Amino acid sequence: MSPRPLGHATLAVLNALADGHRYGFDIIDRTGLPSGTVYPALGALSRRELATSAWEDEAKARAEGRPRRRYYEITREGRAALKAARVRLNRLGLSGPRGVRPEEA
Amino acid sequence: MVPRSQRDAWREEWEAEVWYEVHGAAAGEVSPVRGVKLVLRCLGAFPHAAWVHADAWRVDGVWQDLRFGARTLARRPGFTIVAALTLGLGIGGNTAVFSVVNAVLLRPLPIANADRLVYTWGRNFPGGPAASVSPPDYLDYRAGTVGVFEEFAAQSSWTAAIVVEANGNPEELRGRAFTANFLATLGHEPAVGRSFTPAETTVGGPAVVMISHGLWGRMFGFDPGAVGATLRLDGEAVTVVGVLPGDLTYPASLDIWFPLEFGGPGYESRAAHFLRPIGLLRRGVTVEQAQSALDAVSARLEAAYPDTNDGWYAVVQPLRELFTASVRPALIVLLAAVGLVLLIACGNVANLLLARAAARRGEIAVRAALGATRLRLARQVATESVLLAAVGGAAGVALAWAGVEALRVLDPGNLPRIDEVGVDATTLAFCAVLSLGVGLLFGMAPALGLRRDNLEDALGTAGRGQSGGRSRLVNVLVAGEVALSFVLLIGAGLLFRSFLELRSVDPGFDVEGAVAIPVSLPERTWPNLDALEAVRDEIAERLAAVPGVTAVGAASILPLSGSQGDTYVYAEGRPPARIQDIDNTAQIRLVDETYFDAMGVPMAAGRSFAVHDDRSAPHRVILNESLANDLFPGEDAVGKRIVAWLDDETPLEIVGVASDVRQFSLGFPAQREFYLSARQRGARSLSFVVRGRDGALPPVAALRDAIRTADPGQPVSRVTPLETYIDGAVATDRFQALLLVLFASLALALAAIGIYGVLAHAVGQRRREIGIRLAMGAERGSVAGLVIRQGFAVALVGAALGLAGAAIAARALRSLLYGVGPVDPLTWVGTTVFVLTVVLLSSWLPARQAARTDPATVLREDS
Repeated sequence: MSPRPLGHATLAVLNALADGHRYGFDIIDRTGLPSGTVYPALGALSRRELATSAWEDEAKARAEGRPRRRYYEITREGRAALKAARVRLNRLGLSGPRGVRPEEA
Repeated sequence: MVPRSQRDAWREEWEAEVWYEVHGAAAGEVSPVRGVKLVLRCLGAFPHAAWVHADAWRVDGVWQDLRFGARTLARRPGFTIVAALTLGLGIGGNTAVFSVVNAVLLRPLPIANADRLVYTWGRNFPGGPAASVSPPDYLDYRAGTVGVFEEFAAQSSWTAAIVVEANGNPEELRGRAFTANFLATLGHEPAVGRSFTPAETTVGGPAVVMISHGLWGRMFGFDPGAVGATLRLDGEAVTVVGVLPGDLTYPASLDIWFPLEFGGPGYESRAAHFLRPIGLLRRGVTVEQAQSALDAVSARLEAAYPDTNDGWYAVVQPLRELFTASVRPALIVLLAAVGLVLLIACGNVANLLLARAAARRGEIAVRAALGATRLRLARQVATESVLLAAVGGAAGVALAWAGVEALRVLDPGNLPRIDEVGVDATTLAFCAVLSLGVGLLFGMAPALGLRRDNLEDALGTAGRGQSGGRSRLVNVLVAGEVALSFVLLIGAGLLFRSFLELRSVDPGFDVEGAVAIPVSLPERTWPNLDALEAVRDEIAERLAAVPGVTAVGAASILPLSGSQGDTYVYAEGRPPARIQDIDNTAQIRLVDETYFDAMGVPMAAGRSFAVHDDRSAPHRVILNESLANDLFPGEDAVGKRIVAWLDDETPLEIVGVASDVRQFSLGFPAQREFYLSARQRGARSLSFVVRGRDGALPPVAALRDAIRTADPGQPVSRVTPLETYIDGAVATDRFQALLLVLFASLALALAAIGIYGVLAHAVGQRRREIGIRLAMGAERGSVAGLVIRQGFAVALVGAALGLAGAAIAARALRSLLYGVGPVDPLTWVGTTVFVLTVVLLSSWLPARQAARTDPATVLREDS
C-alpha cells in the first residue's frame, strides 16, 4: 500500500512512543488526547507496522500479583515516518501536534 | 462487537490499564476528580472496540481475498462454469423481465406533465363501466374545477379513419378530435406552427388540422412550409396549422388532430357521451381534491338536469395508472415467477458450494490452524461467492439482452412502450445489485457451515465423510427448490389452462378462412346516398365475383375490434324508470344483408336484413339474443318494436334475432347489442368480410383489385384474416402463459439438477456403506431403493411446502384466470404427479450408480 500521510492524532501518538511512553494510559496522559482516539491510533500504527506491541510476560506479572500489561514500541519504520512527518511540518511551516517538533531536513 | 479472535486481547488490555490506574503509583490519593477521569477514560474502550471491528474488514484484505478467490475459481473451471451459468440463467431472466417492468411501470412517461395529468371518466354507478363525458358536461366540469385544474382538455372517444390523397395515391390516416388546449395540457409545444385556437374548436370555424411528426416527414419531408399547406382529407380541403412534436407518444398512433366542434350537431346533448377529458392538476393539488371538485360539479349537474344526468358522475384516474393498469398484474406475476427461478438457482449454487466446501475442509482447516480467524475465513468464502455471482451476472447480462429481444417478439400488443424496453443503465444497475445480493445470499450457506464445523477437528478428518449439519442444510435447500418449482408449476399450469380455455371459447362467428377489409366512403366523395349505395353494392359484387370467394358481407365494426358506440333502448310501450342507467344501453352495429351469412352467425329467429330494407322502408332492427331475452323475456321478439335513442326516437321494427357474438374480448360474455341496416342508415365506414371456399383464405391480391376497380379512390391498406382478431384477443394470456411455462420448466430443471447433485454426492459419500451392504448380501434393487427413497423424502417435504405456497399463489392469480378456478383439480393433481415423476427420474441415475457399486473395489479403496 502507498504510504498515506499520518493523521494529526496518530502523529502525536507516534511521537509519544518515540519519547518512550509505552502503554495506553501513559500516552493518553502525555498527549492529552481522549482514550477513544489513542487506542485506535495505536491499532492503526501497529497495522502499518510503525509500532509493535507485546504482552508482558504473564508469569512475571502474576508473580507480582498484577495483570500483565500491553506495551507498545516504535519501530524503525515508525521513527522514519516520524522524521518524515517532522520534516514535512517544517517545510509547510506548521507547528505540529502537541509535543511534535518540526525538524529541518 | 470485537471479533472473537481479538476479544480477549482487547479486554485484557483495558483491564490491565484500569488496574494500574487504581493500584498504581498514585493509588494513595483517592479523589472524586480522579474517579470521574478514569470513568471518562474507560469510555474510550468503545471507540476502540469499534475500530478493531472495522479494522477486520479493511480494504487491502478484501483485495487479497478477491485475488485469492479468482484463483480458486479459475482452478476449478468446470464448477465455475456450471455455477455461473446457473446463476446467469436466474439473473438474466430477472434482468430481462425487470427491463420490461422498468420501461412499462417505473420509468416516467414521455409526457412532460405526466405526473400531474389525470384522466377523467364518466360513470353511471359505482363499479360500472368507464364511459365518456358529454360536451356540455365537459364544459361545466371545466368551468367548475378551475381551482384544482390548471388546464382541462378533452379528446373525442372515437378515432376516425380518413383518406388523404397524396401524390395521386389514396392513403388511410387515423385522426381524432381535440380541444384547443390539449397539447399545452400535456406540456408540449408544436414542433412547427401552432395549436388550435378556441375559434377553431367551435362549429363553423375554419377547417384546420394538426399533423403528426411522422406524417410531416412522410408527406412533406419535414419541410416547415407544411404549415399553411392544404390537405384533402376525405375530399375536404383543410389547412395544416401545426405539426405535433416528434417525441410525443400519447395519444398513440394518430396522424391527424382535428379540432372538436363545440356548438355543432350532437354537441348540445348531455346524453351523448363522447369526450374523454384530461386534467392538469395545479401544483400541490391531490387527486382526491380534484375528485371532490368534480363531485361537486356532478352533484350540481344531477340536480339541474335530472333527465340526463341522474346518477352520472366523473371519476379521475392518474394517467400513469391508465397506462399500466391493464398490464401491471401480469408483469408482477412474471417478476415474482422469475424471482422464484433465481431463488432456485441460488439454492443449486449454494449446494455446489457446500459440496465444494466439504471437499475444501482440509484446506480451510490448515488455514485456520495457521491463524486465520473464523471471520477472515467466512469473508474469504463470501468474497468467492460474490465473485462467482459477478461472473454469473455478466452471463446474465448477455442472457438478458437475448431475453429482451425475445420478449419483444412475444409482445402481446398491449404492453405500452414496448419499443422503449431495453438493457440500459438502470437495468444494469439492477443486475449488479441483484448479483451482489445473490452472491451474499448463497455465500451465506457455506459461511454458516464454517461456523458450525469444528475447524481443528476438520484437520484430522480432512477429505473423509461429511458432517450431519451439512447434509441437513443441503436437504433443506433441495426441499425448498422443489417447493418453489411446485409453486411455479401450479401457476404456469393454471395460466396455461386458462389460455387454452380462452382459446377454445366460441366467439359466436366462424373464424376460419375469412378476411376483413375496411372501406371508407366519406360524405365529401359520396354526397349522394344513391351513389353511395351503388358503389357499396359494386364493391360487394366485385368481391363476391372473385374466384374462390363464397360469401361477402359488411358491418360498421367487426367483433373483437372495438365499439361503435351505444345508446339507450327499451321495448316499445315499456320505458324503464331510469332510462339513463347504463343497464339500459345496448351496442349499435350497422350491417348489410349478407353480413350474418358471411360471418357464420346463425339467426336465432326471424330473418336477416334484405335489400328491400332500404331508406324507403320502415325502420327495422335485428337484436342479438341477449338483448331480445332482456327486453322480451319468454316472448317472441320478431315483429315487436323497440325504441332506441338514435337521431330520433322512431320505433324500430324487429325482423330477426341473431345469436350472440363476443364483441370486446373472448373472456367477456356477449353484451346487449342491436343491428341496424347499413342500407337503411347510409353506412359510410364498413369492414367487408370475405370468406373463401372450404376454410381457405380468399386470394388477397384479387380482392384488392376488385375494390380498386369498384372505387379507384379507395386505399385498400389492410386485409386482415379474422383469425388475427382472435390471436389479438388472447395475446396477453398467451404471453403470460408462455413465459410462466418457460420459467416453471426452468425452475423444475434446476430443481431436478439439484436433486440429482445431492443424491449423486450422497452416493459418493456412502460408497463404503453401500459396498458393505452389497457385500453382506443386500439386493442391488434394495440399494437403489435406498437412494430413491432419500430423494423422495426430500421431494415430498418440498411438495408439501409447495402445496401451501401454491395455494397462496393461485389465489393471487385469480384475476388473471379465465374458465379455471384456482383449485383446478387437473392442474394440481397433474403438477404433483409431474413433479414426483421428475424427482424419480433425477434419482434414477444416482440410484443406478449405487446399485452398480462393486463391493470388492470399494472395500479395498480405503483400507
